[in-house]
Amino acid sequence: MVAKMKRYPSSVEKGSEKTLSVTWSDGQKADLDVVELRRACVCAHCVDEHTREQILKAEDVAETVRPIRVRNLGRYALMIDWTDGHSSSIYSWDALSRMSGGEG
Amino acid sequence: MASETEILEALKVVEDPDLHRDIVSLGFVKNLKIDGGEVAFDLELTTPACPVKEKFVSECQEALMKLDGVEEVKVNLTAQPRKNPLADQAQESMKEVKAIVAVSSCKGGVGKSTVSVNLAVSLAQSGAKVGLLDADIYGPSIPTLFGLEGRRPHVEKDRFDPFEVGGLKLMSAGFLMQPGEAAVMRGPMISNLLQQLLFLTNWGELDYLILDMPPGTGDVQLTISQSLQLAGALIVTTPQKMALIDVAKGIGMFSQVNVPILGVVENMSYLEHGGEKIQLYGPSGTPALAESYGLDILAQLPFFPGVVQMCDKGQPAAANHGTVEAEAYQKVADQVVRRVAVAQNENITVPEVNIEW
Repeated sequence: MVAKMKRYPSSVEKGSEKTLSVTWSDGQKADLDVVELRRACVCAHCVDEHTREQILKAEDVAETVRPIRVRNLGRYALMIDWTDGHSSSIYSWDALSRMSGGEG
Repeated sequence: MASETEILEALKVVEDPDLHRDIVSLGFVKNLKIDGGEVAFDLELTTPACPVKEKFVSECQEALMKLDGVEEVKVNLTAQPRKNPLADQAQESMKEVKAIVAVSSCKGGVGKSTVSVNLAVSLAQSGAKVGLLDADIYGPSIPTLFGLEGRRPHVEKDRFDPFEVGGLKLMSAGFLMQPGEAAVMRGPMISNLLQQLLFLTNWGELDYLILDMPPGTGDVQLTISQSLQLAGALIVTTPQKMALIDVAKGIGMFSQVNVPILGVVENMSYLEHGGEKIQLYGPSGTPALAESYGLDILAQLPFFPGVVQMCDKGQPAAANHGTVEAEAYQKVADQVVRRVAVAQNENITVPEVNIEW
């Protein structure tokens, strides 16, 4: 059996002031809202490590939050530092793919 | 008219309340321009959300207006991008390294270091520029394998020069530690030491950097696999079941972080005696494992009695042209070269992302 090919980004760019634009290897393009990305942070400060319960509430994140810097983390993820002082949020390609409306 | 020196001197009265140093020595003052009575500069703050930025501006203005000939002060507030020293150093140190190959065993004692060393030597002999990093903090072996025990690397400007032996650039945790030191190190210290070895070594231009990983799939291994753009991982195992169980864990770890597995090298597969192949570990379980994970076995290396002795003498077997050992390792090296090329050309090469928002 051939496993279904996972998709990978072919480009990651700043879309607008408020969107990160990701083009996927299957051609899909998604503009991800950076505020939603900040809210979706799954680090140990934002999500309980044991229960996987979201600690960070949507209202804790201001609409004005923006990335300071977006860069690769290894081959599997993006790492974003934020203007609200939160740093090193990690987004795996799988997670970004799901947020883009595709499969993980 | 005030000179640049006078202006900078005057600005030293303005202190950052958190850092307890003046803004000039902190390097916050940039692009100073003096145009007649008008003084303009950028004040680069650590964060755009700095709570005292207005205070900075008024203090700067107050200090400068006292100087003769200064009529107007323009302060332009900027913020420096948040620095992640590790990632910056990683990019700097690794920028001329074309492919990093991790050699991982998952289980100890399977001959991973021997395979790493001989692979590196074979690659170098086929004309590639090769570096070898002994990341096995628990049992660094490269100093011994190359006859460099007790040596310390040359340090300049907080960076290490790797040792060069036979065209290979070598760095090892063993060069920085006292014998037995690793036994009393906790995880964070080990990660720290590894990052220094990786990012503070002057690797220069390399076609391949071979990473001799510590055995297992713990914190340290995961950190390496996550933070470096590995071209691929080579798994070394022996035929017995215990080793194969650990290999499965290793495969799981690499796949989680999207590191392609180049293949499996089965070491100590058999012993040749009087023309007969004796399987000391019994029939190999590696083919079944490789099949279930869709991996290829790159080589089944026999016990080479000479390999160990030569390694102990500081002369890697692969360096001896025309020997069975050298040929066997050359085949592994050729496979690695081809598979790294394939892995780098597949669609799993991810774009380089470095966006300043």
